[in-house]
Amino acid sequence: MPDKSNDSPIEPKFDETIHAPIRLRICGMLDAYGKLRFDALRDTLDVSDAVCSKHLKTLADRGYVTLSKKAERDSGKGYKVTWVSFTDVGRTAFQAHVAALKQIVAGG
Amino acid sequence: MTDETRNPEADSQAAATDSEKERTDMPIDTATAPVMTNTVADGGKATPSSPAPGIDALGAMDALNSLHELNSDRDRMAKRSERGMRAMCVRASWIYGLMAFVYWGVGLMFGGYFYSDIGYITIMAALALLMIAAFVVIIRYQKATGISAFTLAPNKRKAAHDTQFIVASISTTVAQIVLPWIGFAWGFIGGNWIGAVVLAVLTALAIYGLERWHIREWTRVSRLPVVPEEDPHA
Repeated sequence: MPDKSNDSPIEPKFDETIHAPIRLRICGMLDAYGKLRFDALRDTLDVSDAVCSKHLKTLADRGYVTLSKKAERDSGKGYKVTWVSFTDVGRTAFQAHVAALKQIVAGG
Repeated sequence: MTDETRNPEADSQAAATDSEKERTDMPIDTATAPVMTNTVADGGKATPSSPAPGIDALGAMDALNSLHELNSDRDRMAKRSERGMRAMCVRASWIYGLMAFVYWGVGLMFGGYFYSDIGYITIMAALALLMIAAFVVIIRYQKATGISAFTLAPNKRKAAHDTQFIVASISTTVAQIVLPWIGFAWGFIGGNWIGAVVLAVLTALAIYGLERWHIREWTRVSRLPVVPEEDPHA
C-alpha cells in the first residue's frame, strides 16, 4: 500500500534494523529534524548514554545515520559533542518501514 | 561515545534494553507469516495453513504501538523546540529593535544631517555587536535544545506543503530584514530621536508578534503525527 501522505508513493519495506523500538524512535525524530545532538536524542528516549550510543552505532553501520563529533566551547574539559544526522538512505528506509507498519495495521 | 553529560544509570539500562532488543527485534512479518504447516489433512504433503489470527492481531497492535510511540516522541521534541524558540524570540526582538535604532543613526549620516568619525565608528561597532548578538542567540537555541539551528522546517516534506507555515516563516524572515530599515528611512529624512525610539519599540513588538506566530506554526508542524491517533479500524 503506497503512502499517500507524501508526493511520491513509498514502497512499504519492513526493515529489521529500524524496527527495534529505540532505533525506530531515533529515526522518527531524525526524520522530523534532520540533525540532532546526542543528548537531545538520549533525553527524549529516556535511555542511558550506552544504550543510545549502541543503537546509533548500529544505524551508522548500516549507513542510516552519520555521527560527527565537534568540540564545543563551555562543554567542559576536552569533551566533544556528538551530532547525529539522517542520511538519505536512512530516511528512505525509515519511510518505507513506516509505510510497512501502516500496512500491517491496516491488515494488508 | 563521549558526551558532555553522562547518565549514571547507563549500565543498568543497557542490560535492560539488551533483553528488550532481543524481544522486539523479531520482525512483525515473521510473526504474521504463516506459522504452521498442515501435514495431516493433505496426505502428508506440507502446505502452509492460514496464519493464526491472534498472531496477526498482535503484529498489528505492535505496529500501531510503534507508530504511536513516534507520535509521542514528536510531541516531546516539539515542546523542547518550542521552549528554545520562545527564549530566542524575546532576545531576538530586543536585538531587532536596537538594530532599528542604530539604523536611524546610519540614516542620519546618509541623509547628510550628521557626520563624525567617532560617530561613524560607534554606529558601525554597534551594528557589528548586534549582528554577533543575533548569531549568539541562534547558537544558544542550538545549545539549549540540541536541534540544529540550520533546521529550517521540521517534517520538511509536510512543511513544504503547509501554506500557513510557509507564510509565517517568510513573513517573519522578511520582517526581520526589512523592518529595521524603517529606522534608516526615518534618519534619512532627518527624523528626531524620539521618533527613532518609537520606531525601534514598534519594530521589536512587530517582530515579537510575528515570531510568536512562527513558533506556533513551527510547533504545529513539528507535532504532525506519523499516523493519525484514531483507531484505523474504527
